Amino acid sequence: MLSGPERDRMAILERIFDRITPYFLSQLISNWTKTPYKIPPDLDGRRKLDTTLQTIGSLSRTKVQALRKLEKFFTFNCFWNPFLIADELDYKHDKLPKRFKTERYFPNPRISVNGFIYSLEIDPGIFLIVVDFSSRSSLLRTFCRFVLFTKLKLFLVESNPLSREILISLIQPALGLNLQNPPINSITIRAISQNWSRILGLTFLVTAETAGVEGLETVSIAGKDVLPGSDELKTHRKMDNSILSLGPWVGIKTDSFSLNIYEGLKINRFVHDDFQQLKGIFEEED
Amino acid sequence: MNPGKRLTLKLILIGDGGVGKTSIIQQYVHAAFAHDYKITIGLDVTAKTVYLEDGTSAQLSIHDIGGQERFASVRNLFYKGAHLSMAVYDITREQTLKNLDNVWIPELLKYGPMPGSLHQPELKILFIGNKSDLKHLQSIRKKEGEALAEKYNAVGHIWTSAKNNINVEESFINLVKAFTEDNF
Repeated sequence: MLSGPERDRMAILERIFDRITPYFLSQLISNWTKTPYKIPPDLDGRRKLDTTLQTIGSLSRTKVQALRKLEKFFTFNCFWNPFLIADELDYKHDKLPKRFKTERYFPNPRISVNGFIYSLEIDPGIFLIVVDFSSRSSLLRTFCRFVLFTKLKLFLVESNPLSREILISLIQPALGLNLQNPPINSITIRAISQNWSRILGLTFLVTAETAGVEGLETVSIAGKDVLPGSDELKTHRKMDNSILSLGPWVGIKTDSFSLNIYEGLKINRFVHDDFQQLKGIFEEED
Repeated sequence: MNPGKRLTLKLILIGDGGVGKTSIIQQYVHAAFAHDYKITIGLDVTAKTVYLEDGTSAQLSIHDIGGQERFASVRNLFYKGAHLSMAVYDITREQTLKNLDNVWIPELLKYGPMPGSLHQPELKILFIGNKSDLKHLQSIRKKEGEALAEKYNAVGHIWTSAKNNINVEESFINLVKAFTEDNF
């Protein structure tokens, strides 16, 4: 029978398991236990969790706090702007300061805000860089994130004004990054649809400018495999045109990510091969 | 080329509904762009004179065909005697380029040339990718349009924006020029 605090700790760990990459979690546990540990890849979710708990033992308050923080950092329900890294990249953790002055971003002399930078290797060659603002005032606590794919030379910036400012003033100068914004348009969306085996969703723009009708903005389709599904629908209903030709494609969803030309990239899972393919598409010229 | 030559040429715009045929004409003839879309019923005819550098003037009879499927049965009547054609597609809709290849150009070539005339000037076609202002919605690569233009021996391929008046006048002038250079 678990006590209240133990149940809470279990709940955090369960949530974390879903979000943190197995590689990072293995590294974290190895650090805590001072022995190399690897999350067993062949076990199902429940048994993985139980095995991990046995290895960690009881969770101290410090470890629980660390996990709570990690849970926030590993919540990827947001949009990212992708950039290509133009020059050669030689990434080392110590190129980024561990602490930095925050007055530029939060100019309030009465309440102090501390700035920390964490570089977390979430998969081999993939780093989650977290710029964390910590304060006694909860209103001033926030963080912004960047994802660096060192082998792919791809850089993702969390889509918000603070991230942009931090990128320009802090991250880019520290790492010497020469970033290029790849054009992301309907051709990009189409190219993705041609290179992925299953597309789970598509969005078309049907405004007056593109479709010639008033009253509509977008039409979306979703399912297990929308491309063959749409073709079948056209045949089944004897339609002249497929629904895929309603308007320019502005959004697409696969297993590992969603991309919308207006909002950016949303990450579902970090699959290196998928991001490698995506980077190739970003690099294609129109 | 004789200076001061005056020609009368029939120019026909073809392409799917909503690609911007009427907008291109409105921009060229009236320097205007309407933001709301009204379909062209059947056929609209406008006139404008083009003046070339060598002194040639061409009175264009510009035929704007309704692009919707419902007008398909009457369209063939409008192609006869055409000297020039603008094959228009919408760069944000891939299907509109495919339909030029599968529907419009074959129709034009079938019904366009005037039967029985001794000196039938070759029909000159210019491919136009309209809505170039919507770069972020671009769904067709320029080279795809160029390849189709080449397939039909078109005089050229150009991207326009009727909304921002980009390459509109150039399209008409280049098409007329191509015709006069070949036939006079």
